[in-house]
Amino acid sequence: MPGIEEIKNGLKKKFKDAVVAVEEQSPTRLFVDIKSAKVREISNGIIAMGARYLVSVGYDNISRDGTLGMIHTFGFDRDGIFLALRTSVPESKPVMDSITPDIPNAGWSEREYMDLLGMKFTAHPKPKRLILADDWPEGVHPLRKDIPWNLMPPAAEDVAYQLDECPEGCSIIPVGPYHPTLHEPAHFAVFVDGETIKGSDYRGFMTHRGIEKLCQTQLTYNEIPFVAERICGICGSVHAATYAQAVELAAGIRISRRAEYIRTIMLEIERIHSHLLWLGVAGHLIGFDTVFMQSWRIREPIMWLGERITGNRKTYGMIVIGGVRRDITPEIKEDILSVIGKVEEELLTVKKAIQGDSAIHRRTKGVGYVSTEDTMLWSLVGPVARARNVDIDVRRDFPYAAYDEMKFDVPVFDSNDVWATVLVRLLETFEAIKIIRQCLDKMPNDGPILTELEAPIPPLRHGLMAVEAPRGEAVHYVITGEENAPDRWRVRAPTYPNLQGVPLMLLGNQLADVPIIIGSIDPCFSCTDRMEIVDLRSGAAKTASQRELEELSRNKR
Amino acid sequence: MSDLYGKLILAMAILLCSAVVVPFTAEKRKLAGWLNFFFVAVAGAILLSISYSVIFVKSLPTQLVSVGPLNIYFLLDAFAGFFLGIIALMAIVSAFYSIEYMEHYDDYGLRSYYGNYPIFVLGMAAIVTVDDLSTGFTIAWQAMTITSYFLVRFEHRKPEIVRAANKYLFLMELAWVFIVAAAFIAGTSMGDSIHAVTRSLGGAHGAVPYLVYGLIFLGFGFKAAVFPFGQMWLPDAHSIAPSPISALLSGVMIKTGVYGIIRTFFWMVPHTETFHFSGAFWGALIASFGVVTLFIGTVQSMKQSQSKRLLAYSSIGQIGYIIFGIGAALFMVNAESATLQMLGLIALVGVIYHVLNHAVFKGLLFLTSGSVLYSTGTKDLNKLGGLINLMPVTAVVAGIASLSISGVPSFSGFASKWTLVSTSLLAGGEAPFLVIFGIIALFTSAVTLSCYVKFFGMTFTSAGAEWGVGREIKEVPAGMLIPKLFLTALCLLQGLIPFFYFRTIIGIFADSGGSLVSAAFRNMHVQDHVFNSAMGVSVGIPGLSSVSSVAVPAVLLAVFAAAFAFAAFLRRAGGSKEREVPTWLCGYQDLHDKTRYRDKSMFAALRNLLYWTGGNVKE
Amino acid sequence: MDILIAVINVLIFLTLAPLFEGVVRKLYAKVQSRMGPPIIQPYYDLLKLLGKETLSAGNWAFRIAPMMALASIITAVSLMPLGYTPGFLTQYGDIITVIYLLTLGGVSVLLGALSSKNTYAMVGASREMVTIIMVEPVLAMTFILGALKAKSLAIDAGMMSSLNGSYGISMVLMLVVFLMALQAFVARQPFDIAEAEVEIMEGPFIEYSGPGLALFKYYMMIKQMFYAALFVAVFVPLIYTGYYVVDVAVQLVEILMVFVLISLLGSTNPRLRIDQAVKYYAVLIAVSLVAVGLTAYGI
Repeated sequence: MPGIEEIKNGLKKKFKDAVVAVEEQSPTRLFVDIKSAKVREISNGIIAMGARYLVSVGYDNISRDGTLGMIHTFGFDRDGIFLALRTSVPESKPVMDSITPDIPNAGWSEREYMDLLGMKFTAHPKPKRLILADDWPEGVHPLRKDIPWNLMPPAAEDVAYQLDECPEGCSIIPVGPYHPTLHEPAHFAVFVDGETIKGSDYRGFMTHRGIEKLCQTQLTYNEIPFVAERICGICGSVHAATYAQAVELAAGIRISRRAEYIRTIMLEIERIHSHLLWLGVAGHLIGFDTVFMQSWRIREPIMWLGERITGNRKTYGMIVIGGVRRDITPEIKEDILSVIGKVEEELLTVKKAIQGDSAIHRRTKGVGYVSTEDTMLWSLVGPVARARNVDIDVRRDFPYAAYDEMKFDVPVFDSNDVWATVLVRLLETFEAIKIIRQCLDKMPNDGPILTELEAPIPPLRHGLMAVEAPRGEAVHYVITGEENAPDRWRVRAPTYPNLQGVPLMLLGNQLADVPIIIGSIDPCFSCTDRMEIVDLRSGAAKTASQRELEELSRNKR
Repeated sequence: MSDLYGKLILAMAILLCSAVVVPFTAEKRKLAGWLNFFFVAVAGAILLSISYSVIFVKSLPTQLVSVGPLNIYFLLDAFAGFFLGIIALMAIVSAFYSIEYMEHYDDYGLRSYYGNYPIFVLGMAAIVTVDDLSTGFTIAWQAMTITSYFLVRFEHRKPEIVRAANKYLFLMELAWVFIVAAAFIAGTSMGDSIHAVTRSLGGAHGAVPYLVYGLIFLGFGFKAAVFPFGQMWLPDAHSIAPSPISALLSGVMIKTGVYGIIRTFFWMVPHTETFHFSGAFWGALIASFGVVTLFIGTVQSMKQSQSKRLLAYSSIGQIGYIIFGIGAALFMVNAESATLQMLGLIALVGVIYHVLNHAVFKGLLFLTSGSVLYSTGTKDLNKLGGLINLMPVTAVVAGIASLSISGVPSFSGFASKWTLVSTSLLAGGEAPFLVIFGIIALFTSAVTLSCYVKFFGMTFTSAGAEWGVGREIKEVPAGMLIPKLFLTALCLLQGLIPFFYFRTIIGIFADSGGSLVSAAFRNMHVQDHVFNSAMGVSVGIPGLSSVSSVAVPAVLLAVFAAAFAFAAFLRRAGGSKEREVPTWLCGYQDLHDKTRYRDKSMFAALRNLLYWTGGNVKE
Repeated sequence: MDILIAVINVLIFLTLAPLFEGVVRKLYAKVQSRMGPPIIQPYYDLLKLLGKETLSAGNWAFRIAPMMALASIITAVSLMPLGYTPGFLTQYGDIITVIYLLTLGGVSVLLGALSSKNTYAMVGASREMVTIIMVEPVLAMTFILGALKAKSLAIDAGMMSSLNGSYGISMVLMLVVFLMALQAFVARQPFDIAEAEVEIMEGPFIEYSGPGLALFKYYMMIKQMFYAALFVAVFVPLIYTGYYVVDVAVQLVEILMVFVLISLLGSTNPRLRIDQAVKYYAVLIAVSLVAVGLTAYGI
């Protein structure tokens, strides 16, 4: 079990000159600068030390030193240490080794920067377009600073993405973008022989809204949390919290303890909401609409509670840099206690019903099996990983907000299937209720809920933050900028790694299991797709001005 | 010598003559085809007239006929006449179809084809008319087998075809050995009539009768494609032969095996003090073979991905129904109870009815798949699809044939399958195993349906030919449509007026003397228990309730038509407009060769469940 | 009089089938704590669909398939002796005819599905066919049980065999099997596998819109009612007064009860996979074979 010193020394000893600099920002954050030639070896070395790959961040640094930066991030779950491996390549020759052959989950991150920054990764196993629309022109890399945020290249006809070859004798069953299994657009090409799945390919990112680019160029630090919340309709607070904490970390801002408690409460309320919502969707996906309707009925008071606390049923708008925007009064506290008490009671009934329903067992047990080794290899996160006997939870492993004082269990199962993900989420909901009770109990009564910033946020500081969203951990990486806005803000939603594991889960299962398997990761395509500019396919929507849209939605009633 | 026997010899002579003359014109393909058709049609017309005369006018007794140096017993009773009629009919249709169809084999000469075709027909005609199991039988059998061997290996440059043909020849010769051996074991000499065989069999003791009947069942079982023997040769031989020949093989030739089994087990039965024919044993045995055959054959058919192989396996399945009916009938007519005996007789009617129906619709189906092969050059269901707009007439014909073979009410398969199933179900009170058999038969007809949903769906509806076939697809020429339309009309007729066929077949059995059942047919007044109900059939079995079972296709069709008209009215009632749109596949991918559902994926769950039945298609 | 009864019979099915569908929807909603649509909503649905535009992705077979389906179920219904009173047409068919007619309805669905060229429709068709093959024997054996008791394959005799006294162990066994297969007959959870909305989006019907869809929906509703009526006639011979109106009324109330059962079963089960369902059906077939065997021995 390496401590932060061992990691530092180990890297220096093993890779000597290749390690250019090591910065220990805090006891839990380690930034290592390396030469780009050794990136693959060092990444493997870090994995060998027991780290888990998180995400890669590419950024345009051309104006400063003529390079494109690349940061691979890792987490040492047992030690609570995050490591960012920073390197760069010259703009003239933006080529480096791909780490994907050994760390498969880096595949999308690297493809992302092929699209967005025009980087090249040698030996990448699948160097295909990932983010950009099918008809986006070649050679235009929208995350580069010289590309304006509102660039709209003309649409092109007859350009098609080349999906993977379907194995001989199999047929492709297209799933999506318009498919009842997917509540957001994405495309799975499922290769079936009879009803047995022999493989699959994914084409997503159909809803990129250009949030990162937009925020980097058009918004200021404290406007961003509200956009961050809108990355996802379900785990909005998670993204706001991750962003705010990443900036706070980078700028060294300390906020009041009370605000941290309120953040914790919001995050856990969101978890209860999300898990109940998911349970309903899962029921629907296996054709069990009664589960759907009932768990959404139980969810309803949580929505009410959201409105009571924040004024919004969802997309709370609570968390900003420096704290939270509304306080929890004693009256609200009472309401919270009574609502979660009622939810807990009803949920117990649901839990009993689900655990005793042999038909649900039949549809979920053994479905979507992935071995524990593969789960770790593919860096899957959240309930998906915990259902496959990978005991990770950033709330416990890398505590933030008030989680260091919370006592809670992290349910882990070893049946490695969809059934286990059901159980994990069910039990986590009870844990969330437990945490909220502890928060309300221990919360300090004093302290401002919002801390004023004393000085401007210094530029070019790096902040890396992970928050356990209901679906797994969300990771944000912030590089602070000069103009009261981040220079680079990278969002990695939990669906991003988990979606890459879906082909693995589908393999060998039945066609009828596709919905529940995809559903079992609780996919959030818009979280994953957060990226660049405007989707060209939805160009038609552009013709309606904001006023027209507002009028439309007002008159609808 | 009755002039009918003379006419029979004349017809055979014409066929022989055709075999000698037509090959000389084989260079001119069309001409050879027309000549062949002409000769076959003339001979066939004579055979049909014989058939008509023995069925509807007077059934004849056995007669010794001198054919050159040989004296051979012939028998032209109504029963033989019935099979003779089917053979003649299908031979004419196939010959007409061949004229155009053989055009597309432009790299194979037609000399051998037109040399063998008439003799093949001659052999089949002879085998149902000769009345011995030695001399005449051998000549007929060999004429039929050897010529069909050459016809099957028509595409002789393909080694797999030659291999399959060789296997076919070997097994058919083996079957011949079994049958002839049985005749000699029974204690006859060359040229003895079946009657003589029966007489000497009457003196046999112990295991000898079992051996004789067993060998005969084995021999004819090979020919009729009973499980497991049928699987050895039929799917290969029937699927590789040119389609008109496949139609003859499946529609007619395997029926000679059925003929042989009925002729021996119902006619070659001695009535002496010392001899006891264990009809119940043989009936149960044959019925069991039949049920296994119909189930396995049909399930295997469902698994095929080549149209002609699918049809070939399905032939095994349909033969299973016939064999099952024979067994059940044999069991029941040898029972004590009058109820069972009556049911047995009705079942026998169903058997013969199904023989006729199967000859027509299976012939039709093979001609259809031949037309598709002609137009598209493939019989791989995975490459076909969407021909309904390109070959509309063939599609309709195939649809009707498919509905018929699947036993959909008002179509011909329904009436005969209904007879077989209903009799075995009604026998349940006294012979419970027959109920189980009947249920299996009923279950299997749903599987049959799935075969033909697949056959029709993957060929004519759905999509695929646009990618699987690299040429323009057109409807086949009139020369290939006329025979199909003719058979379709016949097929529809057979479905709509079952009562006529019931009455005729009852007459056939009553008139053909010397069998176990002809007396029963006369004495028990079967015709008085089968009522005409709008040309449909209503059966009242003594010992059961007054109306035991009913099938009235014409009325059903009328009701269906009225209901259809109502549905059509509803469809138009709202004034809905129609618009053509492309097939929708979730919005990202269009329909193309890879997003199309494949034949091998159809019914995957059932295939996996029934994997043990064999006949699985390997990739 | 017979003709009148046959006509009334068909009319009862045509007019009441959507109502029962509405009952099912309402009950589903109640179980799911929803308001649910008005009970007569299915009538509105049908009327609305009849007036909507038809989008056709197929060929002429695609067009006639819905009409064939509806016609076949109407033909089957016209043979049915509702209220134990045979109509004019009952004498023109027997149970084998009915079984084959019901299959024709299924075939029409398949024909439409295959003609639509849609991959999902083909998946659905494949599943539908497998279901037909596997549940048809259960239906057949239900009939055969009655036929064996009545010593006749005639429809009325077979259906009224339990009314005429003999019930027996075999009948009870068959009743259980029929109940277990009921959801498969009416294509509801856990056996709505062929339509499976979230997997293959109504499967065979995916390309249908407007009147074509309306006819198929109507067909499904009537089929559902047919099976309910069959169950009632064969297994629940509560009362036979001889007064047509009373008998029919009684049976309709019983049919309503069956629909309540269908709703409860359907709303409390998830959908099974086809491979799981096939194994389940195989067990049902085996048990019903036992039941038929017992009947043959008079138990």
